[in-house]
Amino acid sequence: MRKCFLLLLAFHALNAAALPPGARPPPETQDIEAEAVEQTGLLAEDIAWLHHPDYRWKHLQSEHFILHHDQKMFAAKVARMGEQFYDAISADLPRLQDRVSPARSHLFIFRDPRDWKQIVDGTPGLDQWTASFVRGNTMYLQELGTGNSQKMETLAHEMTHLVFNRFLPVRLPLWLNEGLAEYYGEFAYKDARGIGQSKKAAFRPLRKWVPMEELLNATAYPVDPLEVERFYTTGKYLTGFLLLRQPREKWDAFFARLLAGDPALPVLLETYGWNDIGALEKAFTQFVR
Amino acid sequence: MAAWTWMFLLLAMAAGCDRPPADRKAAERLREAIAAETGDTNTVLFVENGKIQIRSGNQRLVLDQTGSRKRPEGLPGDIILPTDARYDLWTEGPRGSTLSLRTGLPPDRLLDFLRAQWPAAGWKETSTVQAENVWSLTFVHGDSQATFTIESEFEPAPATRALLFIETSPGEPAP
Repeated sequence: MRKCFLLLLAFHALNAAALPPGARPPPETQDIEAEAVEQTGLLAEDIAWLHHPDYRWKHLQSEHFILHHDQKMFAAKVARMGEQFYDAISADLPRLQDRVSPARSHLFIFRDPRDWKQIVDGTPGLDQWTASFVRGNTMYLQELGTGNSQKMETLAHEMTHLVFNRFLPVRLPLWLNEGLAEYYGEFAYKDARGIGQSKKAAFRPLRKWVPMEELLNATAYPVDPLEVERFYTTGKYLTGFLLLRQPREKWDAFFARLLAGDPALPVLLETYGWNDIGALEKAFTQFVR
Repeated sequence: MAAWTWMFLLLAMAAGCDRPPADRKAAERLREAIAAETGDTNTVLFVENGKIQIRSGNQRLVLDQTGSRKRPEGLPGDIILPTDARYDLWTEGPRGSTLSLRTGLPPDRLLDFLRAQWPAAGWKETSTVQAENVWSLTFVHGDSQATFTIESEFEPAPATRALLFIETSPGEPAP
């Protein structure tokens, strides 16, 4: 038992090791020097961007994130809202723990479209339509548009990917990964601002959507940029259909089996009692019309 | 389950705190601990070929408390380890693999060994954390990340225990 106790101490010591020696509990956000930036969990490509000679990053640290930016006003808002989104999204994963904690995730913020193009061109697997993205434990966020709510909805979308990468032991199918990100993108900022509308009312009739067979079996984004938005929207509507129009216990059972590593499509049909994709399509059509 | 939690559970088991096959209550406690962490109440513990097997979700853990000099099958070739290493645990999961080993090298010599050998195999050291007499060392190589937790062990004989967690590709970027 003594050995167990020592191991327990070591376990707690490791968890406590995220703080520099002698450090006080961090304030909500704080500016940190480049030398103080933790690099745990960063991929080689992320480290290359962090030290890229063309960028003179400033660094802002919050409880779960380190932000690399060139303008503090927006970065501080991203840090504050990012922590709120982290709390809201992780609260919907009550039986899971943050696998990455105490390591922080990194957020690179870009404001110049030319810089963003350089990032997209230099990242395998990205298409030119990419506005922001998450890879592993790192978010690349572009400050796009003029409206605050649009920027924060983008942040909520990407934060969903980041939180899932921290908490989930498995990867979700593409439609569900993007569907949930769109779902939180739609509602997380409004909920945080207390301007939430009825979630069911938010799903207005859809004129066109991606056929279920195509959506559920997709392993890559559509080639045609015009189809990309439809793919995201259909994913959000299907997620909303499952979350809001079906019994919640079915969602819980479906998600639990995904976490156990079961294949998504047969589990979806079996859990919700649809004989085949056609039966799901029929029920979904009633929801979107 | 959090990587640290897996590490702790596995480290505790490898150290011999609980011996599930000999003690049904201990096995039950372990099952409850895994269920509390994962939400999976269907954890299965059994013995096969003299080794403890744990199945939780689609993670399958194999624990060999005797230690073996044989390098585990499936361990990538660029994972360079001391020649005297004795392996007592190797697991493969959907997002990563865990290896537990003991070596006669003291912790500081093991750190020196890793820092000398791993860069030659393409790994780049990205962080080191020391807390008391426990070291954590992280390397990255392409899309893989390997984190060592290293500490001294005094029973049954002085040795160094290293727990290695290898995370596989973070996957395609998600826009």
